[in-house]
Amino acid sequence: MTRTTRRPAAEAVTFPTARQRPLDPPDELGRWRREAPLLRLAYPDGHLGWLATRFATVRAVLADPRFSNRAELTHVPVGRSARELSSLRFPPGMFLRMDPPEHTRYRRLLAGQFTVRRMRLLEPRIARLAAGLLEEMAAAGPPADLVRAYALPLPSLVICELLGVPYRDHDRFQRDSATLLGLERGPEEKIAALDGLLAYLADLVRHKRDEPGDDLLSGLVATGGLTEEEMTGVACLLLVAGHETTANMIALGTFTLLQHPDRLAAVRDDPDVATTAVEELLRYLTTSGRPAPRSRTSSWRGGPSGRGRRSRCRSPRRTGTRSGSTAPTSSTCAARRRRTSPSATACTSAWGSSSPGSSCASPSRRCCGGSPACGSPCRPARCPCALI
Amino acid sequence: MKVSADTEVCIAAGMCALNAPEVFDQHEEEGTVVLLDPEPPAELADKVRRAVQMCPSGALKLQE
Repeated sequence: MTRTTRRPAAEAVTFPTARQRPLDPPDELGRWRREAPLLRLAYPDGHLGWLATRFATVRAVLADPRFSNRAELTHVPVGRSARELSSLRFPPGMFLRMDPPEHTRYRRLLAGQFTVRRMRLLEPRIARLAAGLLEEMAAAGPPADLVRAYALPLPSLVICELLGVPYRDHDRFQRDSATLLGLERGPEEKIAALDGLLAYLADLVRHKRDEPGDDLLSGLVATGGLTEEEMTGVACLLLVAGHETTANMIALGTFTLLQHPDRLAAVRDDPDVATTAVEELLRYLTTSGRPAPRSRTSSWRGGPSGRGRRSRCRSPRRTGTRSGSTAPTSSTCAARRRRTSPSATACTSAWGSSSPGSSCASPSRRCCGGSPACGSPCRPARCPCALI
Repeated sequence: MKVSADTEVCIAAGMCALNAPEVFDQHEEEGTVVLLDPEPPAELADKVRRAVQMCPSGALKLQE
């Protein structure tokens, strides 16, 4: 955090959302990253804050407990969504914009439901759902709309499976969540969709209390650690967090591979490559394009360029966000590379903005996570920056 | 090679159990790291290094 970043307020930037190329983050972010680690940022509500552009700075902000993620303390950096978000009243249990220890309490109760062991148990069921959708698409014949026929329904069905939503309610579930996430929908429609979903999920929670199954909601009920309202909020968050993100990754990942026939062939020919290709596509596409806002808490002792005490948080050794890295960003996508980075989905607490890990650019080498021995440039993820 | 795990720092992402299941497991209820082998054999070194590198919370420490 250097002195050079102290620009006068008149030079404040606004957060760019227009992309010059559909799959790349806005060019301004790359240019600003080269210029300075911190820029003055003008928020749509008139607030003047900071934009962290480089990986080290973003990481430092996101890992520092003196920065708060609480919705009521942060300003929203992008205009339209700012109004939309503030008009949506999230119920208790939607623990997206919270700090420890409140956040930790919810996360602990849920973490056991998402262990590697549990996910492995879920795999065959997901494979069956995927195969079913592909068969339906093939039976319907060309032309096929991948988004409607596969990308959107698959994650929705998996979430239904996780939560234990009965099959007869799947259509309603999909319709409401699509409305809630649709960019073209107005705030009134979204509020109505959220209310509809919450009412449905509240019923579902009560049902699981009376007739528990082997699903996640029944498991949460059994812990006795959450109220009915909180469980409803948790269920809603899981739905919203996992639906559109996954659907976009499936669609955009397929699109990206179709544009690179050699990489597509590699994925097709070797099932082992598919796993690493998924990780690389997550890094490359970074579908959660919104920046992660943070605000300073009362325990702060200095400004962004002042001398606050050092963070108590430990940092993982090798991390990277594409738009926030000091390394040159890569605009190409390599399917064949060893897996090195935790997927974006593993990083729930930082809103996907600090997806750690960077990958080695050399397709033939064994991965080293970008260590000096690698000799190849790192390929950080392309996540947005944190805002203060 | 010696590994240590801090369950207070751990956020239960499970990357360690995914990358080096011989050395790391997850707590059945909380999902946090369970260290199975604090001194893993040399043939697991690469897997363990990757697990430590990929831990998003920095809960793992490696001494080589």
